[in-house]
Amino acid sequence: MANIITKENKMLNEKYYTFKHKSGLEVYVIPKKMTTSYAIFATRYGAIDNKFKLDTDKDFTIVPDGIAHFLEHKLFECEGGIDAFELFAKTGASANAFTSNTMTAYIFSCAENFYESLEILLDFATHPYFTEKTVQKEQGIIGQEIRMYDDHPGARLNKGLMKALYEKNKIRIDVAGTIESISEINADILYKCYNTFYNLNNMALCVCGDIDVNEVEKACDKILKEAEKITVIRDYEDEDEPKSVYRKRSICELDVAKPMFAIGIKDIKISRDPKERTKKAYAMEILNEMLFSQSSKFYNDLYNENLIAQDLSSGAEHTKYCSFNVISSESENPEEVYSRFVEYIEERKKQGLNNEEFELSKRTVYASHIKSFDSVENIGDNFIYNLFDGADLLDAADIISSITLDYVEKLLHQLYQEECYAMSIVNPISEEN
Amino acid sequence: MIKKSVELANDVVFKYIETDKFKTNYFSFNFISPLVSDKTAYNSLLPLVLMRGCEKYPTQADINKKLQYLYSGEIVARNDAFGEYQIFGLKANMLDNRYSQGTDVTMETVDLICNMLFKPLLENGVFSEKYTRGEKINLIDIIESERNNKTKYSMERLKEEMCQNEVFGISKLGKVENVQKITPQSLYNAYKEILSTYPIEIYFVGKCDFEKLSNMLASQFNSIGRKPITINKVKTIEKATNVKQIVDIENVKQGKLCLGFRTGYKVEDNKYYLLQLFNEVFGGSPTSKLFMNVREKMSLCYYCRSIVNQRNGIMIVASGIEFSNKEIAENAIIEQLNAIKNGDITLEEFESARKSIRNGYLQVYDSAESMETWAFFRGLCGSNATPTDECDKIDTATINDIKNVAAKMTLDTVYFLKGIEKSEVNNG
Repeated sequence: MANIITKENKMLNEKYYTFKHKSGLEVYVIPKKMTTSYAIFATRYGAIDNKFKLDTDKDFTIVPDGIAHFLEHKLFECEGGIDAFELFAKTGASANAFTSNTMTAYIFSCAENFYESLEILLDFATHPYFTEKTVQKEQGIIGQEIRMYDDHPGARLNKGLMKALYEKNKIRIDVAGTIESISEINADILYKCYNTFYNLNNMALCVCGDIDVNEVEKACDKILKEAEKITVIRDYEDEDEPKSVYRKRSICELDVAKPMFAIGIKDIKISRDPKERTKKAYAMEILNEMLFSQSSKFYNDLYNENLIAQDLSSGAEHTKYCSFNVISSESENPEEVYSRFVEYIEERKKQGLNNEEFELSKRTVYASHIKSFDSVENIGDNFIYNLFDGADLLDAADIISSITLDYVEKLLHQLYQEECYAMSIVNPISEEN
Repeated sequence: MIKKSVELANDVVFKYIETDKFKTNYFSFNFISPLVSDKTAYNSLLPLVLMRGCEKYPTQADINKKLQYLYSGEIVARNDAFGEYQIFGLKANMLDNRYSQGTDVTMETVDLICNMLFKPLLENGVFSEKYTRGEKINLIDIIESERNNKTKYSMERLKEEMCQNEVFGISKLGKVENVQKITPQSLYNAYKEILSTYPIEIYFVGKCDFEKLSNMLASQFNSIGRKPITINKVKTIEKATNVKQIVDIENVKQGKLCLGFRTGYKVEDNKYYLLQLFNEVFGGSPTSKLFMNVREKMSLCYYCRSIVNQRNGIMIVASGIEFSNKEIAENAIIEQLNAIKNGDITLEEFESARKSIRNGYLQVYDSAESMETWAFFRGLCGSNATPTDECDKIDTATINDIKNVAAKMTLDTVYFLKGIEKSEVNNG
């Protein structure tokens, strides 16, 4: 039996059990009295990991863009031509997977037969099977997935923004790659990536629902073999990423009704301490609520002048890999919005932030965090997202409480400097086309 | 599912689904309108204008501050088309009082919604000119932005073409030219009519003091003379007579193929679960015939799925493909349907579909909003079966039932959205 550690947050009335399985896998069990149970089996491997070697290798291996995502697709194919979906179909679980810049995750949710489905999950993700023929077939499918995103304004807006903000950071890489880059993928490279990154020591399992921790351990015992200890060196080549944005604008045309814009604020000040990163991440959200929510002067002025659509979204991302903030909406005149944004920020910096606004915004961010514990899927995903950044989801509520007006005020000055702003625009297709 | 239900006024019903498994509560206030094209624009615009300001909180900033005070309260406009009905109003997701350190989030949030609905901001006895104008622009933007999402847009276009002579083809958002005609006075007249004549259903999912909430809600209707209308049920077309072919040409990189079928099944007949079972085998899951063949074997697409509607008896098959593959994909889809018609269903496929549908039903219990949608929409079809009841029904189905569903299917319309040929597309 593994040594099981319990952690609880009394205010939230949430807890988890964790143990390190003898195979090398970290396991987290979050009990929740729901009908549905959820499992997420993830590896610290995403689109940014395209240059790596083992400590025993002489040279770095460089792989084509989009390979982590390609691998995610291919892992569903098991030996004998069976698809993992067919295995899940026998239990009734609904399975899926996703790849981001920094992780690949295999998931399922179900109301019945949880442990049986868990065994399937652990089994198929640890048994790769690729042939040249199946790789070719996947190139057609993923090619259509890439085409679908080419026509998707939100995806294009975000892609454009990352390419404007960053010069070197590998977050610039499209998760799915390009039609050209995926054509270079073959079975050998897939196996190489698999063997490097799908080592159980580099992975974690989180399950959430009405689940027994001992049964989870039994499933791990049954399926998982002890992983060889390896040391992977990843080269992100981003050490000298400049503070300023790479390009001020990124513009493309698509068949949309009205121009869409996303203003990005680049930040390269990232702490090595995960708790400090969590604090800054939530402080960025509080600041967004203060500056851009529907109570803000910025939103109300621009909406009343019909300069922006009803929905002005803001969102911060702050992890060990990158940090930025995004403000987005639709507008007939994105350049006007941009200059008003710059003016507004300077005005707010001069005026200073007020305490009532801060308290209400902090309360909002705090309550949103509590609300996120109503779905087993949200809990599982957020838990892994935090874990892979070195943080603990159950610490977040206390960290949010500790944020002060002074901290947020300093953040306003640190974050908002004009050289760090860029804007991505998706325009309607112009007449001459 | 519904624990308590009370009629607060003539055809105003308040229903309570009690559960303490969530950290949040859900509340919705819904007007039920017939889905007719001269009403949709008004029904869509009204909640947007009401959310801009009321007597007590005259601006959006005032409302949002109150929502922040209420622990990240969220109030959003509802606008759903469901068969012959348009359901619109306001809905809220709120933190449970256990976490709000003494603030009565539940009562105060419902009170805020009542203020928005019953004490709107008026100027000279009608809605604010500024808010009406602003929200008209907003709504027109929403209507025009529908084309941005090509996957959804192509399915809407199919429905519009397929249901030209039925209410199901009517867009719930309304038409731009109808929105443009609305004035603060005409919207106010519509509002008065809506309050006094449309059936109203109010839902609370979570934990509340039911008596106290009922009294508070009932008092809102004290000065409203209710003369509710009756909404006539419409018949669905059970069988297509010939196949319509529709092609749109736009500046897109991927072709969108949508096939619309008449199924002859809907919730009301109490056999809808059979259509869902069929759908799971045909194209509703990653082990379905469409996924396994059109995507996995033929490598034609990233997605190819079928979607059924519980109210209008329509099934849509949607896929994103290369422009040149239209005929191949269309034939492949029909071929899979024919396979089921011919009884080509393995016991494994059948069992998988059954388990997957059970799973989907049971998951309804894990979200306050899905519980409400289940109870509300099925209630409109005259069914009070719970997800657990439906699971029991599923267990009695046979492979032959699925074959029979396939046999009733008829293809009505084929819609294809394709790109401009041989033109340079600006890549940005």
